[in-house]
Amino acid sequence: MGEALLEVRNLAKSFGALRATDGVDLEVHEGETLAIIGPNGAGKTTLISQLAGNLRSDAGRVRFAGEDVTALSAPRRARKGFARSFQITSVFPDFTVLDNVALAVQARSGRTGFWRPARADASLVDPATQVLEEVGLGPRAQVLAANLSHGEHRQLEVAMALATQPRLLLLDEPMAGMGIDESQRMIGLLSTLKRRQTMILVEHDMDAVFRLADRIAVLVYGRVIATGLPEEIRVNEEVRKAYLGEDA
Amino acid sequence: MKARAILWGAFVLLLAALPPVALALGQPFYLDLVRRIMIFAIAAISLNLILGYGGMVSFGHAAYLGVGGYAVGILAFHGFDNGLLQWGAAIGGSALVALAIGAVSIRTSGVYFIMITLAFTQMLYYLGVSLEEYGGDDGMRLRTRSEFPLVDLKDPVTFYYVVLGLMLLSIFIVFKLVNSRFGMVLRAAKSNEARALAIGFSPYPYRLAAFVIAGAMGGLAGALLVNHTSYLTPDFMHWTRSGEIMFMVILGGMATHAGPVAGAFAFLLVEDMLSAWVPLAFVREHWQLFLGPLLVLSVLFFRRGLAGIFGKHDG
Repeated sequence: MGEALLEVRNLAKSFGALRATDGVDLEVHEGETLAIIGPNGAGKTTLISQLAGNLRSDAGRVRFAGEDVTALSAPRRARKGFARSFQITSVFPDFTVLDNVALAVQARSGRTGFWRPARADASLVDPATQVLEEVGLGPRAQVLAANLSHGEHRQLEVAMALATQPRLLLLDEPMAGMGIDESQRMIGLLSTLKRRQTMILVEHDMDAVFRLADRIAVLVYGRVIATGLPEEIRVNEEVRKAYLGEDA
Repeated sequence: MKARAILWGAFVLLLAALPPVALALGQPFYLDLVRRIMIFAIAAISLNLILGYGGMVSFGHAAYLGVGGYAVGILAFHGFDNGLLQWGAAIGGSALVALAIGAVSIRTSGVYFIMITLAFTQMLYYLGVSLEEYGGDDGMRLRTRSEFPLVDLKDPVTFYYVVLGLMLLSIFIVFKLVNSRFGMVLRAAKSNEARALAIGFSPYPYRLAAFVIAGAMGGLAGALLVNHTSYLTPDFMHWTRSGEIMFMVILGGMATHAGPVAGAFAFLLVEDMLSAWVPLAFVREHWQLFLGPLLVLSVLFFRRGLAGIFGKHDG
């Protein structure tokens, strides 16, 4: 497989006496989709925040594309190719859907300007429109982001992440709070991204996890207790006991 | 959209027509009043860039009125009457002061940001008080208005149109800025900072740049104000002044283009009416007592500011 795109070694984060992340090792290879599952409070969102650079780690290293990014802030990691979606919807509510995505395109471009109107800039608007078509929000481009439905918010989050042309997409429960139809649509969207987009997916929806993941890591109390192919995880005794329960 | 353009057009025509009408009616006082209002409107427009669009609650915007005013006053005191030099110093000086204040205060947020900007402005206020050579507490008279080639500011009508032109220019500059790539990031960081960080923007340099631009525009307003009053005192920088400018922005409507202008006109016209026009002597003497409740009611009543009456917030 060669060198991994993302290599996490012995990552740790404590909040007081609580070890939210406790010596996590992970590897993600180019083009791979890694799902992270685990019971509530296992530290999944903490881990994503550490990877994205929103939370500073107490110990451990994060290497990305052969470079140590442990000390980099969130915006600097974003410019290296990280993109994340948030478990609780996080968009720019008082901007239109198109503006939201165009901002992400602009972030990627790294250029700024003080005079020319950004909304008339084809190098921002065209790629943004294209990404919106891709995620199925094309007809909603001119709607204020605050007025979107919950499912559309999640789609917009994915669109913004994609618009930064990330090398690694960190998705924190993209299906959370969605109805069945919306979930199915999101799974459909994510499966079209598979292979060409490297992803880490934190998700409770086991249907989604088993359909999308190439590999699964199981996180319990801040520790990775098992990593493997979906079929291996499905039959792993320890995992069944800790997480999947009798009905899995 | 169209209705708004008509309103703007009517407003500009009205202001442009005021001098001949006021002079024909033998009421040059109105010229003076509206000129003063427009100068404060420039200060409010510049504050709106950081307060309304940038979400930075600066409680020290009078600092730049002061720096701009002192730059003109001190140069004039030493015999430099050239307006380009004076106004250049006013704008450049307040940009530098804004750079220093902003570099420190933008690292904080919320109440701390408010207190730090206030503290810096109080420092400048007491610096002004301590400048005995330039009148200290009492201030000093401006020897002569700034001198420009071709334009004579000693002519009240000319000065009026210069202020009107600069106010319109300020509105246009802020309009261009907030709709540019720069402005989109500034507003996005106000809208949702975590999201802005996540897509790769570092808000700090954008906020600092906005802070410096607003400071420079505030310095221009200060240069105009000292020419208007022909008198310079540390009161230019008093914290109540900062509060008044902030109030104009909030009253008029934050993050709108018409808001700060509407706020400056409403605030200063009502103040003038209560203190001079009202036929009750009691009200005229205690006008502040009546201004307060009016302001409270207006904020409660017009949640999105006066500009909100005419339509949704404009970008």
